[in-house]
Amino acid sequence: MRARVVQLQLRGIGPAEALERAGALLANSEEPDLTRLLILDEARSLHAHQEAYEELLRSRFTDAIVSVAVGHGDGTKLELPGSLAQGAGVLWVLNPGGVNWRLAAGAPATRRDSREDRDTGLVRLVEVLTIPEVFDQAHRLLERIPGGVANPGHRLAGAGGGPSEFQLGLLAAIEQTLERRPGPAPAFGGFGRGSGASRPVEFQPGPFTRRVNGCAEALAGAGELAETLPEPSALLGSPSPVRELVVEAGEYLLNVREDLRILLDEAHSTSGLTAAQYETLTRAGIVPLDAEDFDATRTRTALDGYLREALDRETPLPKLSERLSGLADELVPRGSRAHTAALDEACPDSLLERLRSPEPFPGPEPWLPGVGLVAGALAGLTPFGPVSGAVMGVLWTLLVALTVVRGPGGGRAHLGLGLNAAAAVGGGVAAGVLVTGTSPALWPLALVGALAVAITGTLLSWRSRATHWAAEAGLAEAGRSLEELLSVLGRADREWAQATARLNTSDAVVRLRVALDRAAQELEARGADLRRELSGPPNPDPALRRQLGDLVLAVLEPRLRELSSGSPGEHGDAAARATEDLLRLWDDHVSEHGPIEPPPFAVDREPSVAANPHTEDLLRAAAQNPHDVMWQLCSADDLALLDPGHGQVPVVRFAPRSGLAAAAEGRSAAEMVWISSAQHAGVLRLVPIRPGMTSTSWTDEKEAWR
Amino acid sequence: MDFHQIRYASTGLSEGRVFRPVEYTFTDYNDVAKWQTWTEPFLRTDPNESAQPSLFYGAFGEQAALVRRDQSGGPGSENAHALIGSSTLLSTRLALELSSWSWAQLPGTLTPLSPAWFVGSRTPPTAETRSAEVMARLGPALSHILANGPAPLVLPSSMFTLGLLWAVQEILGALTVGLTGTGTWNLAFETYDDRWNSVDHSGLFLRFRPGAPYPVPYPDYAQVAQRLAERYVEGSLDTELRNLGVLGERDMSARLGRLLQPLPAEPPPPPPPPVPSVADFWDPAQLPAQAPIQIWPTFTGANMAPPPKDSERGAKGGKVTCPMCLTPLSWEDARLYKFDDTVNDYVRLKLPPDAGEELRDRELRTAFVRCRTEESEGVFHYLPYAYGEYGPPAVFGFVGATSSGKTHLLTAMIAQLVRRGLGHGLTQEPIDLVRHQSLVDGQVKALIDDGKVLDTTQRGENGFVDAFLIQENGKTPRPVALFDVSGGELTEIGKAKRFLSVADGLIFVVDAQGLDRTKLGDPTFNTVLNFLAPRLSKVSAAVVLNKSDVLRFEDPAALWLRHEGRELDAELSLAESADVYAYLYERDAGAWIRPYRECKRATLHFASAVGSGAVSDGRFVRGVEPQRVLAPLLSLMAMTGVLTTPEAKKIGI
Amino acid sequence: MTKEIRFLDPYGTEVEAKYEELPDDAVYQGSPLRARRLRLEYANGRHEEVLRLEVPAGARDGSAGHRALDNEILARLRISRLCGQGRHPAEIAKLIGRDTDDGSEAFALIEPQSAAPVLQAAGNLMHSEKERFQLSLVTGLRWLSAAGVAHRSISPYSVSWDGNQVRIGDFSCATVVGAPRAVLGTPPWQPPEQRPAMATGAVTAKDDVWAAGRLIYFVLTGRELDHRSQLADDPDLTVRLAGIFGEFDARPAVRELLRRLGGTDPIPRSQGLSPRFQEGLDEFYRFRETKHPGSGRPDDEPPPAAPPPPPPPTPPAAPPRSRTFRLFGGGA
Repeated sequence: MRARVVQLQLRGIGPAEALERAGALLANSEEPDLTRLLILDEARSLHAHQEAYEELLRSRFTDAIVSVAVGHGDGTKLELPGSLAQGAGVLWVLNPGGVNWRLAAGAPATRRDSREDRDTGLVRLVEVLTIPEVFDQAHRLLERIPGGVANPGHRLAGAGGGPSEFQLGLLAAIEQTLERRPGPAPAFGGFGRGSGASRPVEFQPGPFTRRVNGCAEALAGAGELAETLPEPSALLGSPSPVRELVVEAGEYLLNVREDLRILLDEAHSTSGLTAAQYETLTRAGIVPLDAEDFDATRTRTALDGYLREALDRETPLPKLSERLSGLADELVPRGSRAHTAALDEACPDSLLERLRSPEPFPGPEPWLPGVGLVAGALAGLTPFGPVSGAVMGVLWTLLVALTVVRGPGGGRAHLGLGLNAAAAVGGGVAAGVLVTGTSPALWPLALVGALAVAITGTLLSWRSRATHWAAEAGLAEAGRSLEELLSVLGRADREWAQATARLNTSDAVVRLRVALDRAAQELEARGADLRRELSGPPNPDPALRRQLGDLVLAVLEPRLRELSSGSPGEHGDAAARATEDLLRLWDDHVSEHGPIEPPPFAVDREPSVAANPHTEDLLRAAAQNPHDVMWQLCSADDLALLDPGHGQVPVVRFAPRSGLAAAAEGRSAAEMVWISSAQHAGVLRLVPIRPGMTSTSWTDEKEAWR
Repeated sequence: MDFHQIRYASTGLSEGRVFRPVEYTFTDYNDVAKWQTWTEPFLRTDPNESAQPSLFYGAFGEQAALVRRDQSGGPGSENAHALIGSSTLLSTRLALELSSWSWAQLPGTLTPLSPAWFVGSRTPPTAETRSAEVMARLGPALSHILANGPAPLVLPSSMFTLGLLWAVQEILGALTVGLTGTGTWNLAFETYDDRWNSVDHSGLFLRFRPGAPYPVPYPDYAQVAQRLAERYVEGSLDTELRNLGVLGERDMSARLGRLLQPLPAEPPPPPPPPVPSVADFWDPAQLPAQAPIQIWPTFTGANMAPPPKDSERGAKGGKVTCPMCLTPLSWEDARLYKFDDTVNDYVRLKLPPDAGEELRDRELRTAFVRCRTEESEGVFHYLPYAYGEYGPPAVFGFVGATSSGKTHLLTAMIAQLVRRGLGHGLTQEPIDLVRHQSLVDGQVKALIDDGKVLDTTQRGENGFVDAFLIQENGKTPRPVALFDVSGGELTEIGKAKRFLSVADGLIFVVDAQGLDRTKLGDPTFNTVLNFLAPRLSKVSAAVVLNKSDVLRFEDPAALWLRHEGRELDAELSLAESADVYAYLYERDAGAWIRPYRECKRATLHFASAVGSGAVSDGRFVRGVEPQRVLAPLLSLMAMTGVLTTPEAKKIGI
Repeated sequence: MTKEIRFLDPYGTEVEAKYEELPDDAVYQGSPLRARRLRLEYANGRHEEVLRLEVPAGARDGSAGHRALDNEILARLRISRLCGQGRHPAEIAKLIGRDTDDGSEAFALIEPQSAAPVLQAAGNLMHSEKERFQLSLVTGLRWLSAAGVAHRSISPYSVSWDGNQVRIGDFSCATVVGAPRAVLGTPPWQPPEQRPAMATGAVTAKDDVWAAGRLIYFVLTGRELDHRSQLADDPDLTVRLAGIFGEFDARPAVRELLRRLGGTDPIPRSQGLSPRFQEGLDEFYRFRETKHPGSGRPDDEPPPAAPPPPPPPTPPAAPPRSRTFRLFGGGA
């Protein structure tokens, strides 16, 4: 509960009633804080009311009391009840209409504009005095003034404040809140991970499963054979079926891909699997994940968090609504058909081609005839001469032929063979003819060498060719591709499982959005009304803007609670009603506690300090020279009663706290009173009354006179 | 009583640009929608034209709208702004006063406007209104307005459009002063129309179109119109009207009739007064290429019947049979009579030998020819001159029991003829003006305007009801005479039915409500058919299933009643005939089909004379709205060769 | 206080009942007619709440009002006749009765209509509702087309939605298929063939499809369809609304629309001509032949107001595949 100045109206009533009112005020439990008490009274009835004053002063509730005494006393003097003179400051408003007067001995007064209500001066004074900070300062100054009585003069800036101030602020807030400016809404964090997010697809016996397994087995088998292919055993042992296995794997892979294509198409649905579709999948051998349940709580918390964040960042409602409808659309499942495109990426036709018709086993390398030549030549060095060379050549040709025949798919390589044969035989014969008379010690070595060269050459060539072929067969890619295909299925599977949950979530988001929209509509309507009623320009006030955000939250809070049921229309209506109610509540609140007190639904209950665009002017107003022409609340004739004094006249300078920053640099803010009202600023000068113009009386004396 | 506003902008829908309300002061959207349907035809602009803004004003019942459409921003910038108010407030006059549009509010700020709003932005008629330029256009335009009554009239647009409108408005104001129920005479207008297809507004509607041919003065009314125009310019119009005793008459038609009557002491009109020829002022831009420059006094009948030249007369004249006594009459040397109110009898009509064509025509318009044979001592048959002027007329008879609603059907037909005309480039003008007028003022008005239930047809004892001169665009007109025979009399063929012997076509009226009463059909049908047996092959028949409104929720009537039935379409006509036939067959009412079976050419029709049979204390409580009543007449004209288009030749076969 | 009322039920039999007017005047969206809520009490003590449509007193043009009322009656009558003893479609308020054509004022009694116009719901439908809305709307239209009725003012104002069921209201512009077209409605809900200068020819059962397609787009997206290209944003709609906004001839029939939505045709039996009427037609043309030999019979004789046969539903196009695969056809 923030500080308040309590007013007590004693004007125009008799002593008894005054006493009664005083009592009532003290007894009133509604008014917890009477520490600041502003009493309005007629100058001439102060004395009559003194019992009331004493009652008030005696009570332990009151602390500071300022009495505004209006008009002249009986005679020229102002007769103060002694209690009042001691315990309270008195502002003597000789004439509520007042005059314009420059504070200086003998300075002339000028009339106020005759059109203004003759009480205006007083009203403005009271208005200012009800600002606690100003009240306190005024009270402090009055205590220092001899006799504690002064005639107030003021010069105020800023408008009347009160409801219209609030409404202008509210209008501004509404306009900002509904602003349709470009720019993104805060991104949505998401609803947290659904369960079973990354479980592998579960299979059961079925045609599709068979194909997947068949494919895997074929690939594995082919892989092993391809491993052993380069070894000599593969060349000498029984012929390897690796090629057939590769082709088989290819066929399987193709089938897996196309089956998937058909399955994804048949099970396509944007609203969860139908019984028939589920049936289809299980018959194929796929066990779809159990459908996830719609987690209302998770959805609620996610949306709630998002709303708060967005409103906290002062995202305009239209933006927010836009984002929400976007979200609702994103949540609607795309259906498994959308995944079919991914199949071809996972398993391109080119790969299938490679598998299903593998390259022929490569023919003999170009360098092989060289080896044959050497082998032949060495053999030709034997005493049998050309004959042995030729024999060697034949032997070589047979070896090479073996590598060709044993290659997967039994390649043909006539030319390669021919060359090798020619080279080896030619080499052998030539060597046998040309080189004669080899020493008997050498030729056995040559023969062995020839054989060695021939065999190693063959083996080397086989190994390299086999390795190359196995690499080219594309078995590795096939393996990856199969995994890819299954992961596509996995994604679709996850979507099937989540479909219903996602739809429910989407529906929830729509409900929320509609509620938001209807709330916005209500605000718009209110804005239109305000624009019609109000004259002044909208007056942005961050506090109100924040509180409006809180209002929206308060409206949507119950919507979030019932998020999982009801038609959007119902939610919308409810939201509209709530908005209307809260706005009314706010109005009532303001008219009761003023615009500064935050409304009940506000999250931040601290009174706001408004940032006011006019701060500069207000500061200027507050910084005026106290001796300048001001609105002195007396008539020209009464000026004689005032004591211009020399030098300092007591003044209360006050300006909105928001000015602090602005004032910090430059202007001495020494005796400035910083107030929380956004709209008031100015100077209140308390011109002392000439000594002897007031007299004090005590009750007992009065008794005596009677 | 405030004025509402609607602002329209055009949107490009996928099928082209359409106007749609973008801002309006109505609270109920239904009003906006309603006005959209009413004003739509006048909002439209030609996508490429309409460089200059156009004003439309027209009343829609109690309400009236003033629309300004604009495309000054070139194609795509079409927009329109409608001011809507009660037709009493937003009168033609106010509309003209507001034509400057200086009163309009800015877009986005439309509010309902009180009459006070317009103070200061109302511009009264300028001197231009009485300028010679306007004058030159006023006479001819006025002649058509007087002649055709409340009907659309297209005029070439010019810089004097507004002036002309003012003049017409003020003259009509003077003519209709003190009259009630002249709603259709309220001037509606559109100041600039360049659409390739335009919809007319009901009642008197002046539309200005660039390059429209300048109308030649309408023969019979040319002088009256000219005189009114001159008086108007002088400012002595009211006195003139009073002197002529026009303002004495209590309704518009009578007033017009009075205007037409030769002035008491007026000598045959002097050679035309020096009228500034339009050519002097015509801005060539507007002048259509082949527009007739000399517009006075010769006329080239645009779409109205020119009085035939003498040469034609002789040619087309010849033997015409008197429908009452069947005496053959010759028109060339026929003695002319005219009806003299003072002696209340027919008197010889002597045309001064030097009579100008104008006078001669006017006289002949009201002249009669006397039949040679006496009905009885001193009682003669008088036939309107125009009856035989173009050779033997087509004689149509209405046959049907009293209860069949024959009278209402006949009346509704005449009403539709007067109100809508026959369409299809056909024009009709009454032959016996006086008789026709009394018929219109009498039972037609009673039925159409007052919704009264009629008792019997207003007709001579010989059964003659009314006759028209029907002209198929530009061809020689052909008279059509309508005879009615009250059901009672017909059962025994009396002398009054002699016309049957010359009848070319018969309209058999069947009462849709009476189908179940008897299985024997209408005795009157049978009598007539028996009587005509020898020449049935020459007679055409249109069987009308009248009061079809009681079948409006039944097939196939539901469908046919929704066709307007003014089109002459052999295929539709055949389909309708088949449906009516099948319907009667289905209802086991075969006896009523006899006329179709026995007449050579015949059609069958659904029709409703009043549109709703709901009657309470002598009135049709749901308003009178004839449905498809002209179709039978059109078909009959087609079958009897009055209409000669190829389509017409296929009707009834 | 209760008053007497006499009316003809859809089968033409006259019914007498007592009624009392219920307080509030029900709004009958979009119609020139006035609607009041009545509580009928029949002789057998059965109670029923109905909506009484009537021509507002002092209407500008009485006969226009009566035309509107006739349209209301005709359309609903035809629906009643079409479904005979079967269940009456929930999408169209049922005709309870009409005035007896005597001198008293004209009226129609129909089922009361509670749901709000779909205008508010536009763009606010949940995904689960969207399907239902489309299906319900098109089903309603299918009944109309089967009954040979064209509504001619389908719009967010004349169609209402209660979250589960479409109600097509305001038949004041309705007419029978085959009647000449007229300029009706307001943009953007005015179909091309109801715009000035385009309103030529005869009304067909397809005339409502344009507005319906537009409405579906509007209600589902909350946006108005200003240009066809907008459809591209939504693949599903693109498929469903294909052809609607193009050439009239290419416009799908209602049946086709229903098929695209995976709905089943609700029509119990197609409404034909009565055999007796057919006989009559044949006899007419026989006569004609005898009177004018060789005149023949126009084969394009349209059965009056009977709905044109809807085109056979086209099978869904299969995705073009290089190889066709029999699912799980013998493995390798």
